[in-house]
Amino acid sequence: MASERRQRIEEIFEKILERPQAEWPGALSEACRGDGELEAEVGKLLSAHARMDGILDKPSPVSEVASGRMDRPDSVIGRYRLLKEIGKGGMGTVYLAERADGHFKQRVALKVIPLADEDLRARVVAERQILASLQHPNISRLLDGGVTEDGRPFLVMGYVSGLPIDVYCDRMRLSLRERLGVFLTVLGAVEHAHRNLVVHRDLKPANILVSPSGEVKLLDFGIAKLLNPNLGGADFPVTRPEDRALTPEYASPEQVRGEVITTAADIYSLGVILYQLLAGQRPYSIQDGSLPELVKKICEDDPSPPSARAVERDGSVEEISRDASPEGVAEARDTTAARLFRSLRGDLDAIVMKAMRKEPGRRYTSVELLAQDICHYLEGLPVGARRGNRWYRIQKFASRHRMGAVAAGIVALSLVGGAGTAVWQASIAARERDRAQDALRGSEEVTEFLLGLFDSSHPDDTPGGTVTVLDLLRRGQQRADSLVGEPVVRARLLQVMARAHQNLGQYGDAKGLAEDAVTLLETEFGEDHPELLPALYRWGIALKNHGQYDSARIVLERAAASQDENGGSPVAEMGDVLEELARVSIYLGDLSGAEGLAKRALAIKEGSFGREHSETLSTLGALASIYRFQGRFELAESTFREVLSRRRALENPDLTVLTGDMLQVVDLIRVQQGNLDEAEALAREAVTVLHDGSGIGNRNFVWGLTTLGVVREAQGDLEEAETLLNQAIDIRKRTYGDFHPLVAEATGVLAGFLTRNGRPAEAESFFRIAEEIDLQTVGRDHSRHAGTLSGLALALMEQGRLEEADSVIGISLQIRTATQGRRTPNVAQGLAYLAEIRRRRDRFEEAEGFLSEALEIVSDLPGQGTVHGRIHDAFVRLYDHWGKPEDAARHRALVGPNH
Amino acid sequence: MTSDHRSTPGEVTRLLSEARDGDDLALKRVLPLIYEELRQLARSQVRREAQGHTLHATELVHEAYLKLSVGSGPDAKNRPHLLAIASRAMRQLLVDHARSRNAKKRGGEWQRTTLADGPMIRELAPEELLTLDNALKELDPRQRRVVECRFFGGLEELEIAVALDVSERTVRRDWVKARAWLYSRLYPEELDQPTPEG
Repeated sequence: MASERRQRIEEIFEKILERPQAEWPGALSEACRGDGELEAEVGKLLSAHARMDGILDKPSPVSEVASGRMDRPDSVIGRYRLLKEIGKGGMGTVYLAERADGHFKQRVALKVIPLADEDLRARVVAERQILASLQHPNISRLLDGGVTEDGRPFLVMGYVSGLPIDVYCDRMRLSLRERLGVFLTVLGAVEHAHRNLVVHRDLKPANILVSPSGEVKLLDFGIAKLLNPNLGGADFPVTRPEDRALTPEYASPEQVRGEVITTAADIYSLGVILYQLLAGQRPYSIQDGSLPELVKKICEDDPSPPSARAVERDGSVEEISRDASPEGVAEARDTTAARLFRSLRGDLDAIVMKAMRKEPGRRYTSVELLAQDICHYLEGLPVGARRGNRWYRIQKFASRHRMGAVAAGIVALSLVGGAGTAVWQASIAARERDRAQDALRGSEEVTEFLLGLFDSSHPDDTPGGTVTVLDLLRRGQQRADSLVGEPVVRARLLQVMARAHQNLGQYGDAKGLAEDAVTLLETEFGEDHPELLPALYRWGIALKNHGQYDSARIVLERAAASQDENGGSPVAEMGDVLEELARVSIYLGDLSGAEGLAKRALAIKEGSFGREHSETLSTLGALASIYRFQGRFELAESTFREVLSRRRALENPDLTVLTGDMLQVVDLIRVQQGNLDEAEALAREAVTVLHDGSGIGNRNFVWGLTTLGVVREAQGDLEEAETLLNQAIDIRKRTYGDFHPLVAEATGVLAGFLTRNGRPAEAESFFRIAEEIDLQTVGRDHSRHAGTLSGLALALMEQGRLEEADSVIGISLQIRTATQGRRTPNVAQGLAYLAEIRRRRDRFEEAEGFLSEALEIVSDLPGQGTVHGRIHDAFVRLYDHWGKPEDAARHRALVGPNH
Repeated sequence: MTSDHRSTPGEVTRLLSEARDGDDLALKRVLPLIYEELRQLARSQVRREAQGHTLHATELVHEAYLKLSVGSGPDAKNRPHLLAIASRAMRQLLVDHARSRNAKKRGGEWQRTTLADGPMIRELAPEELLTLDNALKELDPRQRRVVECRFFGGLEELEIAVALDVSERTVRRDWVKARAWLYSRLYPEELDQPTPEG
């Protein structure tokens, strides 16, 4: 091919690649102008580019060369003739082979292990007898084993043709019940092996094949031990990073720690496999963490139950495939996401979690019991796993947290108080507290319970002399359990305790307790008891705080639906549910949906309380917050101003709520660069009112300091700003201890300030502290952590550490996409940061791509005018540097008045 | 080629800088030396393979570099250059090996089997490697170098850029073009339709 022609093909190919894939066909025919041959050539390259499977992207493996010695087809090993190579893995090569002595035409899989030591040779010969005795229709047993003429051990087993069990179930779209049926067959086989004292030690879907006719075969029984006995329990030498070939995703904690292995290890692995079959995801993934991180997770973290995992969004930035989405997972199970969630929750969650407990002794004691529980579930009988589940969790909590002694006073506040967590939620905190008090007053038992709790909490009664929050909660738990026969009271207590955990920043435990309350009510009364509405509401909030926005939405929608089914005029609580649903919608990027929900909530509140009522005004404030998220700053400001003036007119307005409104107005003035003097005066008023009225312990006090600090920054008084922001952190630490999400939040605000004011290195160290807290409290996959990472990326960028910044913002985007979806303002902002980093790396085309995507996202969202302007601004910067003045001018025209 | 042809590290370094200065003869002499080094290294890695470790070209190429640069002191300019030449030798080694093999392609999805192993590694089958080698010859020389460095040497974009004396962006662009080209040659049957689905 003439090289000019070749060059032309490549030029067109590159040009078209810059455009979105949907436009390729049009762009192609346009560029080729009727030259069919040219079009075909370029088309082929484009097609290749789109279909590429990544085989060329990783450096070539060289095991072929390294293995040095090859066994050609037709050569004979032992009594077997090799037919062809069918696989190569970490431990040698597997061949399809057949008996060469002419007795039977049996096809086998034969594996040759290169360069084994004397021990291994001896073991293969000795143990093949034991393993060969394992006879079960669903076990593909070891048929033979020996040593080749040149001294390499080999193993022979029946040749099995089939798909890994997880792939098979998805491909056949098996329902949950059908999946459980297949899984029971697996259990039968494992049980047989255990009875013969053979532990598998490496159960995973790749070792459980299902043939096209549905026949199940377990492979490799006992082989892991045979190949690796010196390692004791550690079939997975996980301390060596180069051994990544063996992923311990199905390995039990005792296995990865190298402890003694018993049948309990197989039960754990079976739990992980069942988890995956049900939820469509593994409980822990190595995809984006390092191996030591995974090991740590396996040993320490409690995974989300399968029900929650099934509806979580998961996957990296590039790999959002439909198969891994909640809808895709549900589809492969022939159901919908909502139905899947409900079927898994309860019994199946409990069964899986019991099989997967960290301590071997707390799992099912035999495969038979696991199978029995599954049969009970299938027959609708009570399931053993649900007994004592909550106790297990509480005890774990106790052993995990050697919490510092926190004054009992905080508990009093937490138990009766119940403040929300995120700053922008502050306005509803006081209302929740009032409600909680009402509810408690309504129930004598609960009041007495609380009093009793404090009566018995004298420090002298407690080992060590200090009453900790934990002690109180534990005591509360014991007492709650003594209230058998009073499910309503118990359910309320569980909710109160859920809130207490939430206030301690223990979102995972709060979620578990709130869920228990719902489960308890459902078990006792079925699904339409009036108490269920507040319980679902509480559970929804807990899920939201835990960062599981999809699950939160499902639960809250269910709460909302319960009202519809009951008919009648909506109760005031329904307003709260809808308002919360609106907040969750914001996290999920559905800003217009959020607006609609908030307006419905507002109508209900006006109907129940009238217009001039604290409750109604708070909901109006929630609507104003949504306007703010939509970028409609003017409307948000005027609405908040209205809320504020109407609230000032109320008799005895609640200080917390009132100052919350003030601070919202202040922040909106600042964002729009309005009258900063007015903002400062209002912020100082809020801080003073709080200080005099309820002291620095009020949660809004810190918010007031922060807001004032940021206003002072805008006014140019950096010194006072910094002092205020530091003060905010100190107070949060004093109130909540060093490790609390709210401390991370305040730390992040100071760090952001430092980045903006030319001190990115200091900023970095604060962001790192905030990240540490995030990881220890809300966990890695939480939007708060994503926010911290995004700030960290900017701090790194400002230090010129562009590659680090690049990867950090990448992780942030990945988390946001997984938890909130791709089409959200936060993702758009992250993409804009990423584009800026790439621009500074002179990777203009990539920067352009990311900015285009950001623009596309915000175009779909209502009222993102200001954000639009910022993105166009970024385009201008990009094209200026790129030397494309015309493109720059085009975007400059679109930047808008704010810039 | 036998180990008699191996030479001292110092000699390699000298030949190398001559090769960099445009002496084709020096390049012709240094290539076999590196080739042999790689082959020896590959053989010596069998034990690690046996322990469940999958060897990648990157490691071999870098280890060869380490051995050959002993005694010549750190030389920032030499490093990427030598790595690039080693990548070329690596390609040669793999292709020679593939040619000596006459194995069939691996079976499809319904014929999996394991014997207590880690995940199977997707590795180009010998005839795929030979097809790739032929397709490489059709590329322009710079794109071919980029593919050698990336796929056969596992070099970073920056290293490739320094070795070939072009910008990182050029390396990236060459890679995207070359990769599509090679893929279309490797798997023409997948590209039936002239344009991809949107």
